[in-house]
Amino acid sequence: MNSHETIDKFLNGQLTPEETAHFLKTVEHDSELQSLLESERIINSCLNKERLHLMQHDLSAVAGAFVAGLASTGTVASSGLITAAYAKKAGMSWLTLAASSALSISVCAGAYWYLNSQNDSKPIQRQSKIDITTQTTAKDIPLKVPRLIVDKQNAPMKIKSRSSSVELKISNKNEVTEPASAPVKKQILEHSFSKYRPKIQD
Amino acid sequence: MIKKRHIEQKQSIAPLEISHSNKNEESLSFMNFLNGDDNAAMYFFRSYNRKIFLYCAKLVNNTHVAEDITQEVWERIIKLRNQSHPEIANPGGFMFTIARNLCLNHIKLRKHTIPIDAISEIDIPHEFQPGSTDMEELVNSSLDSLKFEDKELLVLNMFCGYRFDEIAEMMGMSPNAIWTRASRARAQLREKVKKMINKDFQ
Repeated sequence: MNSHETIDKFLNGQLTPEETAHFLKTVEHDSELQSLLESERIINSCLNKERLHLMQHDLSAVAGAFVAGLASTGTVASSGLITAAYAKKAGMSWLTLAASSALSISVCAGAYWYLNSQNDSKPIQRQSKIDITTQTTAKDIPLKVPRLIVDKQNAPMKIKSRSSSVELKISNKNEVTEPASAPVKKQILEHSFSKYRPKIQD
Repeated sequence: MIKKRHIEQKQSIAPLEISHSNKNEESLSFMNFLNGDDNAAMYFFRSYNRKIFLYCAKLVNNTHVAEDITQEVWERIIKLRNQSHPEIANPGGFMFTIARNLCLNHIKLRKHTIPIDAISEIDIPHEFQPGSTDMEELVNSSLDSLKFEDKELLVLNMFCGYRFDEIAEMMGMSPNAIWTRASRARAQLREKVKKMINKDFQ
């Protein structure tokens, strides 16, 4: 058993009472063992001090992120109070919690104000409500019916097929005839830019 | 509530069965955490947050980075809540494995991206702590000079407060192997500190 192993067993209480007594006797005379034990003491004290230093490190940011993460899963997002309680449980100080709450509220308020200001600059033209009850009387709308109506639906049209184009001609025309005494004025609808505008042919 | 149950069961059962039952209960609590139980989430956060931070802080030698990594660990665990997940038998080991991988990623990234000339003396080999003595800095630099696995073992034991059998369970190794490795790492540390002390005396 080397000296390091003996020291480890001694420090962990794994030596028998006889071995412990023998070890303590040896340490009194062995400078090598003394220096190793001294270095062990230094290591322990230094690392303990550093551990204490790290234990004091503020982890409220991690706690806040953890609570936010939990909230994002939707289980605690329903109530702000519950979230605050969890934040407190997780180790966030009230000061940090208040500051983060104030920040989030101000961000929300800012976003709301920004959106509203955009709405003011470009007002949305909303359709006004039509009050049906006020419309009591129906107004007559003047309609001019042409004497000759060419039914576009029954007009000749081309149907394209893969093999050849087939033209269908339908001769049915809805004609409105006038009495023989009056001169016939033929009206047709032009398919031009002045679409559907009746043009009188003399 | 979880803690109360934890204590009640501890008192009622035989000491040999304690660790096994606690392990099962912790595994069950962790599953509850992943299934949306916020009380279980708080229990795990309060139990492991500081330990994970200490572990990361010593492995990456930077408290700010350690804080970020700790936060990342919790984020990753919370993300598992929305996914289907297998049963995790060892939650502590699972969390420390995530932390370990993130620390290794950070160390690799630091190695690959920062040229040696760009690193200030303060960053090598460990974070400067105001008020630390020469001896403390010496011990810390000796700890940093150890192999990653050995350093990790000592950090888990001395900073996080885990016993060697618990570390063995977490790492999935035999307690004897862990004990041997820890003893060897400690011997190396002792030797280094002893040499430095002797240099100082000379």
